[in-house]
Amino acid sequence: MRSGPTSPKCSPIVKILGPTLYPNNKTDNTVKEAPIEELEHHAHNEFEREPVPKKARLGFKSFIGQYAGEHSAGTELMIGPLFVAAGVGAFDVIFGLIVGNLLAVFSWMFLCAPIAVRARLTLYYQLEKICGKRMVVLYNLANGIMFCFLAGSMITVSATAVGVWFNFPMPGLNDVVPNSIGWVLGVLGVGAVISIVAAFGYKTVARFANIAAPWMVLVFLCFGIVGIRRFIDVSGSSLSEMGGVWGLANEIWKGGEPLPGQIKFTFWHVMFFAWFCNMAMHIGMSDLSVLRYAKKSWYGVASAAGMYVGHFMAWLAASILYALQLQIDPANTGVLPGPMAQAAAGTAGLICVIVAGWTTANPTIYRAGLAFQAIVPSVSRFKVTLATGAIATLAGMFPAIAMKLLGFVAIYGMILMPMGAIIFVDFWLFDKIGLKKNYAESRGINFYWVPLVTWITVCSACSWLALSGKIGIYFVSLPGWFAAAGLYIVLSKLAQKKVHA
Amino acid sequence: MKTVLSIISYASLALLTVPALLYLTGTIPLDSLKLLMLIATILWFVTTPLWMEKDVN
Repeated sequence: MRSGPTSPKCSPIVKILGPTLYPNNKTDNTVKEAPIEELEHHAHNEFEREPVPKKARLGFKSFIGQYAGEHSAGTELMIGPLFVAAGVGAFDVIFGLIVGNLLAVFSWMFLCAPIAVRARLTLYYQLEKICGKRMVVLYNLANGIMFCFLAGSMITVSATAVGVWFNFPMPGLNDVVPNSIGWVLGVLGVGAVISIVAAFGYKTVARFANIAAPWMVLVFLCFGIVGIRRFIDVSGSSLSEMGGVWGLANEIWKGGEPLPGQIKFTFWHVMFFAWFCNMAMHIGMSDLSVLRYAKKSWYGVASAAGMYVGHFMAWLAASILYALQLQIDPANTGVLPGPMAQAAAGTAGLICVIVAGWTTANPTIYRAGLAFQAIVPSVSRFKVTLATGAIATLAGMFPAIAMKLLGFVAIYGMILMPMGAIIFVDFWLFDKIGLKKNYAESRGINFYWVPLVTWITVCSACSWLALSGKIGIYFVSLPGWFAAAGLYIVLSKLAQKKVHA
Repeated sequence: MKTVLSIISYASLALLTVPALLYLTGTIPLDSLKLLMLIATILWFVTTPLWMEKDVN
């Protein structure tokens, strides 16, 4: 999943991350500690309503660093184990991730980046041109709510590490509500710290996250290495007795029935999950705001650094730790990154879990706060961010969100996907089929009903298909994208014909 | 000074990962691995902030 902190001049990453962190392109331009108001002042200079000029464009290396750091988040420690809980087999998980991540990289390269380097506008400005300002507010609301839940699951991850120190009962795999006062207080403590820091000293954590990123990636790698050795030891057999490396892989990712309450994952589930878990960013076009700084559209290939470090190595490493836990005690099914990390790497592992959750929840709460603040601009950002943090903390208390993270991530992508289809069709096809692109801008309107109807219709249809069991939630976004594209064209033909008749 | 600090930082990353490989081969026990990883973590977070930001600036 996605994280991603920093500040414009302390690293080249920030120049591109800024617009992502600040949904309305409120990026900062200073290295010095500065109050939010000062950051906002600088934000207005960050090409918020104009194409990124040539002099501000960035080289390939900037994008490699950004994507690698951004996709090594606390939630990786939940996702890997949940694959094992879903009864995934070795071939399915390894090749599913290889193919799915490749498709994700292709989506960045061939869907998002080509538009980003041609228009060089943020997602929000691009949407405003097509749909009008009021629609962007609705998009912000949806985005903000999703960010809240995502941040909640990151707080949950950090709280599992705190639970090791304070030894309070932690939730099980199928728990929906908090199971102990200790857990509630633990989440409350972690959430309060993260929220206050997000509201007050966002930049300090952003810098800290920059520093922590290389260390964190290597600790994830160590989790996997240590997990393999311990798995062999606990199994009581040698690598050769297991049939070599592939035999060991088949012992770790056994396949078979999923744990109670979980959906069985096949190759296709893994592949589509890996492809769509960042759907909001590539197919959903959120990363227009990032890749508009790229000199060439092929820089989208830099996303491979994030996919194969965070969404391959880190997921597999975390899943090895969970397989080890089940090997030691099959009844111990709780997906708790804290205890798993402590068993593998001691205090360093616990620090890693806290840092991974904290550094990624922090910008997520901040982003959510900004998204909400765009809806209620009269309320101060400080208050909105605190309130957002409180919602995320409340969400984090309910283990159902983190324990069902695979499904939540799929829903997140599905909800924001139609807007990506609308941008794609508007940008590439409308001129060719005789329709007016950037309709809201050209007509000078604040609200264009066609994108909203497309969005609601496609989300409703996809939700119905998933809830009725006709198409799995992990797959429904693929036909959903085509449906959104087709519906937007048909409705636009009707709307524009009516106006121009 | 910056060079020295950055060398210590990179060495701490080696100290983080090499023990894991040694544990994989059965050369060191798990407790030693955990201790070395903690030392490496402290070294990384003490030294890296002193040079990394200056470097990118």
